[in-house]
Amino acid sequence: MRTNSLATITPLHESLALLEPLVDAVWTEIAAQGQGREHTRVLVTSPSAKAGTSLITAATGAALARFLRSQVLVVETNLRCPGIAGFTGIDGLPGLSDLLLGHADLDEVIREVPGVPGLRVLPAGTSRAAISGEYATPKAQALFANLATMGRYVLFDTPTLLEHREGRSLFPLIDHVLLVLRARDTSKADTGAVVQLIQRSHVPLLGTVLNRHVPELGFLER
Amino acid sequence: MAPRPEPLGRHASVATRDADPLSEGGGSTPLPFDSRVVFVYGIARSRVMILGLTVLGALVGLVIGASMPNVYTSEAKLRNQASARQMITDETVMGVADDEWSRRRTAPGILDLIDLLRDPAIYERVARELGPREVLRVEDPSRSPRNAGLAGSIMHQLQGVLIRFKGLDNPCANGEGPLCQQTAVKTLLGSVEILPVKDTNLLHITYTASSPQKAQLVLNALIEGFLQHHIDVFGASGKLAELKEQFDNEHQKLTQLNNEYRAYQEECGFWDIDGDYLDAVAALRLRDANIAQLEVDGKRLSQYVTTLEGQLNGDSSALGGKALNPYWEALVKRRQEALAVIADLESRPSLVTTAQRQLEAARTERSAVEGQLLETPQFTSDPYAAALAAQNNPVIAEAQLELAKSKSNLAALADQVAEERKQKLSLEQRLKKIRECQPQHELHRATLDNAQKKFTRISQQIPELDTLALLDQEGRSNLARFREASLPFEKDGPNRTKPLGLGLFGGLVLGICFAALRQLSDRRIRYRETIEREFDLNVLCVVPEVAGLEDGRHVA
Repeated sequence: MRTNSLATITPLHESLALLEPLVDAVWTEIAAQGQGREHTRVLVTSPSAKAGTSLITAATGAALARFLRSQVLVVETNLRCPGIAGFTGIDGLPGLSDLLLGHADLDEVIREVPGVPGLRVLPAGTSRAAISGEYATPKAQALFANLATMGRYVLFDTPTLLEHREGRSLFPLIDHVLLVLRARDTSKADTGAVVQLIQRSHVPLLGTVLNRHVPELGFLER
Repeated sequence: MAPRPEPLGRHASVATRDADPLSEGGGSTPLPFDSRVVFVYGIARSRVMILGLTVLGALVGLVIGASMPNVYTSEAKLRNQASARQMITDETVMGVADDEWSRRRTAPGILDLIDLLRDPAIYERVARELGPREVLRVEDPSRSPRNAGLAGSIMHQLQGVLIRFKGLDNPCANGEGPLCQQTAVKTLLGSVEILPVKDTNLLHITYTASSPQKAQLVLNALIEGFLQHHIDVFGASGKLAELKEQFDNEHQKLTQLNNEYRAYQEECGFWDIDGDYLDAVAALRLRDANIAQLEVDGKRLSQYVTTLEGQLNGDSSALGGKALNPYWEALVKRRQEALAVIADLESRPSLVTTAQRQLEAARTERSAVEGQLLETPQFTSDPYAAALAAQNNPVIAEAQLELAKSKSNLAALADQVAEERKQKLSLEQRLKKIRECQPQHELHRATLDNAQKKFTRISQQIPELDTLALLDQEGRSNLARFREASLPFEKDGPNRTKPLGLGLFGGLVLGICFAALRQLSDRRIRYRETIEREFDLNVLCVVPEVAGLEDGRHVA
């Protein structure tokens, strides 16, 4: 299998700097769509699990913070499988799950990413299964509304909308959706279902990111 | 919160895609699939499988090529000299082509000769002579003593194995039955090629076999078969026998037809129907002329008789059919005489007395006669008086005689006319019978004439064929060897690159089809083109696989 030279880079959060050029088009598009807005909220999701939404979200947030010198907040809402702390090199606990349960304060859970000025991350916190309707409670909605105003760009890293429906509660708060598809893994049927879901919610679909792609033709493939 | 913008479609996005000439198709009807994904990426994805199938196809082609026996071609030439024997065809024997033009038209040409040489009967005979097993047996090149080098020896060994595996070195294992014989004939027919050499009367004949010796052997046998078959077909002996048989048949037929014709002549009553017909017509015309003449004569005689009768009867028609009274005539005569006497006497004055007396006497006589005349009718119906008057009149007697004679002639004429009419009727009946008999008579005669012609022709042909049959007895054919069957040293085939190429190409096509089907049936997303084409979504970026970046870590 073809691998990138990034495979040898450790620790992981240092690889974000190298991933940033790969998501150039993503943060450029977000920046373009955010022209004239005070806050731009983007929900990053995927039709299937393990598509790499956390990595893409972290890399995009880092690029926005680094190249636009903007305040960027990344909110990890995937309570079952937290991962963004590992990518950004911050402490993952406490996080959103703890905040929602009242075990931590908002200031306590939002952390700045070392080496990336302007990028702050709200990790998922203690890993647990999400409670049905947890994000739809007035307290959670108020929390998310507050979080949506805490950065020039606010990126919500959410699990797949098909299997974990709590992410849909965030639709009223966001401006765009970014879909991350994992090559050779995400099925066409799931992708179609998610696209229909997004279209029905009338949230503009910013675009897609094809992640973990293995080129068949090398340089001949776009 | 900023107002939410309108949903953005892919084309409203900042990111733009490059034009895809493969998938868009340059303005023509778009394909139901992305050709780049299906073929280009498919081939790249399944390249190992495609390569494997291609190699497999090439191997199959190689094995097929190796299993094809070697091909050696022996060549020979035959010369065809058209002669009188070849001009005698079935048509000429049957009398269909009598004239020179028809003979030339039906005479066999070079193509007819080639058809003749492709007669399966020749090949059946050759297959029997050589043995079907020998004809079908494929030579094992590994047993050949020829030095073919290392590669050639390996190839020959492979060929040998395949030939033995397929049992081609020992055909007809169950015996040389009809099926084996039939297969051998088919093989012979399929391996021989007969072509005319342009602008010559030569035939170029080739035979291909699995060994040079076998090619020469079979071709020699075939040529022998060709020559024998040619003699059989164009030889005069067979046709002579046939012609003699025809001669006998035609003779019998002619005799029978003659008998039938005579019987019919007898039945109909006319031996020379044309002469009889002409004679009858002439006689009938003569009778018509005679009748017409007799009728004219009769008419004239009848008028004469009528005239005579009128003369003899005088004014009988006006006088009521009465005769002139002879007494009255005598009295008129006496009166005239008396008047003459009176006139004479009155002219002589000197003789008055005598004369006077005489005068008086004459006057008395006159008065008496006139008195009697007044009392006597001029005409009388008394037959006696009439006969007396006729006797006394020679003219009447002559007229009566003439009348009687004319009447007799008239009766004779009537009899003649009746006789002539009778004969005419007889002639007309004869003519009618002739006309009734004539069609059948002519049919008989035409049949007889045809039979006679055929018989005459056969009679003339027999001596000619007798002469030609002598050539057959000497075994001389008009088809002769011009060049003997050659012993080939170099093989002409098989073209083993063909099955190899076909196998290679077939494997490649199969692999590409497999790759395309694999792409079309893929239910996962693999390429950005899939996202763009099937979901009409923008692909902002493609992030490559980074080993170790996500595996074993916390990955969302």
